[in-house]
Amino acid sequence: MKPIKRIFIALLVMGMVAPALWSEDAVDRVAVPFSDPGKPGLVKAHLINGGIVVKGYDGKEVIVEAKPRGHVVGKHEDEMDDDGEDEKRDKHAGMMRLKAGGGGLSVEESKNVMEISVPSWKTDIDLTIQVPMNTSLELHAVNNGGIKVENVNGDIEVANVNGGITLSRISGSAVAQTVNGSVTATFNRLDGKKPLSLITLNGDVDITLPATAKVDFKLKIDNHGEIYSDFELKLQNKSEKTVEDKRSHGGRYRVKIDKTVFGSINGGGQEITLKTFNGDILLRKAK
Amino acid sequence: MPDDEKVMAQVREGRVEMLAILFERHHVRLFNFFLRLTANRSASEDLVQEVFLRILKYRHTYRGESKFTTWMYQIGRNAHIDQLRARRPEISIDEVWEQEPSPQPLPPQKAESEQETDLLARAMERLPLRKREVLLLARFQNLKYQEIASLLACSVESVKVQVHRSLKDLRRHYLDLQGGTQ
Amino acid sequence: MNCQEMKKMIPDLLQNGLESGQDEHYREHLHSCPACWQEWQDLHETWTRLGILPEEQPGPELRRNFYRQLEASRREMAAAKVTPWRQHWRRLLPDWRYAFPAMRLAAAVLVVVVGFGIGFMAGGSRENGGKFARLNKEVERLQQQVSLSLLSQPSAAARLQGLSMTSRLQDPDPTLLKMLLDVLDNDPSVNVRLSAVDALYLFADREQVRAALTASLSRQASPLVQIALIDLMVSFKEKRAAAALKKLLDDKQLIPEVRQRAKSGISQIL
Repeated sequence: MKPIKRIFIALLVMGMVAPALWSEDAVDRVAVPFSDPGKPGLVKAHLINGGIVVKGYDGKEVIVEAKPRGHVVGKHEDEMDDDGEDEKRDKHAGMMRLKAGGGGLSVEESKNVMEISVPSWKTDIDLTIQVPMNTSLELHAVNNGGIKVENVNGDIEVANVNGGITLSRISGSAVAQTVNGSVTATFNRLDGKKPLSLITLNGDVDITLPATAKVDFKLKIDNHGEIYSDFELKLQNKSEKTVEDKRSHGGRYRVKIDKTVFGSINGGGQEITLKTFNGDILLRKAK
Repeated sequence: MPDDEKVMAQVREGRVEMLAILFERHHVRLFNFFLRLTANRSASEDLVQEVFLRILKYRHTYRGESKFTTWMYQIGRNAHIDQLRARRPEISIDEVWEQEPSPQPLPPQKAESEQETDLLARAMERLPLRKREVLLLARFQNLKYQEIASLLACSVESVKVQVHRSLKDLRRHYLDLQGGTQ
Repeated sequence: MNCQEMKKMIPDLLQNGLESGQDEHYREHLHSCPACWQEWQDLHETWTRLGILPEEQPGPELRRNFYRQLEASRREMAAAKVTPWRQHWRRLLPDWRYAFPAMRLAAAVLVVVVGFGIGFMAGGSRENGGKFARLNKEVERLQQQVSLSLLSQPSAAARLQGLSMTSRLQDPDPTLLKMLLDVLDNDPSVNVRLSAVDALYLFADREQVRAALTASLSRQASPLVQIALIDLMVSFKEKRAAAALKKLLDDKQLIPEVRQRAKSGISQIL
């Protein structure tokens, strides 16, 4: 067994040097290989404040960039302030201010699982991660930023709270959920196996699939939401509630109902669950 | 889980329903083998169908000595050759087998990500069938060179030489195509 | 080792990885000969790149035709010497307890898939009704095992698959129900917890399940799961459910959407 590789980058070591490091273009960057690059790895990233962008690329290492957002305010002596005062000053200045001495991007790798964390509770930090295309992902964020994933073929698990989720050019399984924000996903193709699930409370769920995708949908909207589809959705009325279909303008097929809809396209196949409590569901055909 | 050979032995004894197990285990991979070989979905589905039909029909001829998959690919190759013969009866099978396919015109620009798999699939199609086949067997079908050798009735050394050459050619075609699109 | 020998070795290294070579000479050679190194790099890159070719799925007709064929051929065979199905399954699954979990899962998935296939074939032949009823029971038992193994997988997608499989069960055993309730309370993924609500809904005719669902409400932090549970409990129309909703309203942290939902829920139950 290989020893755990641990790379710990202290972004801020001492308050004295902090302002220089945290200047606007102070991006911290680290490249870490998987212990077995021949096999697909798993990348986990957790963030409290800020956004996460993950891009698949044609390489073997995981390249992580952590970039604090906004400007650094305050002068030298501010770094010595305690938390309470920081907060007051933040409100006053209307800008994010960085707490010195506590920051650090940490990347740990063991047995092809990489954990990335940034203590971002005091400031917004944007993480940009480049991964080999077959990597699987587990991404969590809470405030002030969206999560974007692009060009990744592995299994994707994403959870956000106050922010949207955008998955583009993906082809593995996707399990994504947020509370306030839309979920948008564009699939290159479906692997035909694992179920997909995209859910939000406040926002639209917008999914784009290849024209030939074989899918069994489970769709749930609420309140004033509607379902729009480019596909000819074959409805199976499993729920006991009545289903009302409305053909509408623009060539799109509109279905308005108040409970779960079960529908299939191209004869059915892979299971996809889409839910929103305040928003629409859009099923798009890739062009 | 009983291995393929034991299951096939039971099929041979008359428990034909056990073939379902082998079908579920192997049909997707076999389908992909044919798909990469023929670049034709419906022809590949027909071929998979045909292979399992032949396994059923010729189950008595299965000898436990060889691995089931080796035997299955043997049948697969034959089925493929028969299909080629039926389609182009005018030329000899060796000719079809060695022929450099005429380059197809490039399709209109696709989405970036699709492009790469697309280019690769096209580079594959530029290989003559013989090279394509050996590469597919070695790369995707979990067959060892020894097994491929017994399948192709040649020496292990020769299989390795063929894999080496085919891969080199594939790379050349791939780079060509890549240059052609930029 | 010379370049010629090195060349011969490359295919082995491709299939088995660079570390696999038994002797170390090739390594020395690779590192000292730029031409061979380049060749190895090029071929290895192409070999690896082939991995991006997606595995395509054949159309559903293929499976359908295969099972049709198989059924036809089975009928042709002398109907006389048929071993009971149960024994087949037993032979297929030598001993669950000692198998590796992954193997066990793979075996179980396989058997279920095959089971479905055979179930499909059975659709056409009513005369075998008794036998297939037994087979179905067996398949159901295996499905439960598969669901259980899937539900303990680290991947959320696998757990979702496990949940969706339970919807095909007629009569889940207590272990599985307990697992479903455990997933509802503790699964790290909201998507999976929500799916567990749907899965449990199908078994809400059982008092034990309704009680557990009602109790779970106070343990949920995600507004999405809270709303799903509220909707479910409204459909029970039980006093107990109304009490649980009222209790939920005491929570100061409750987001407005959930609060409103709980209020309207209470009025629908009473």
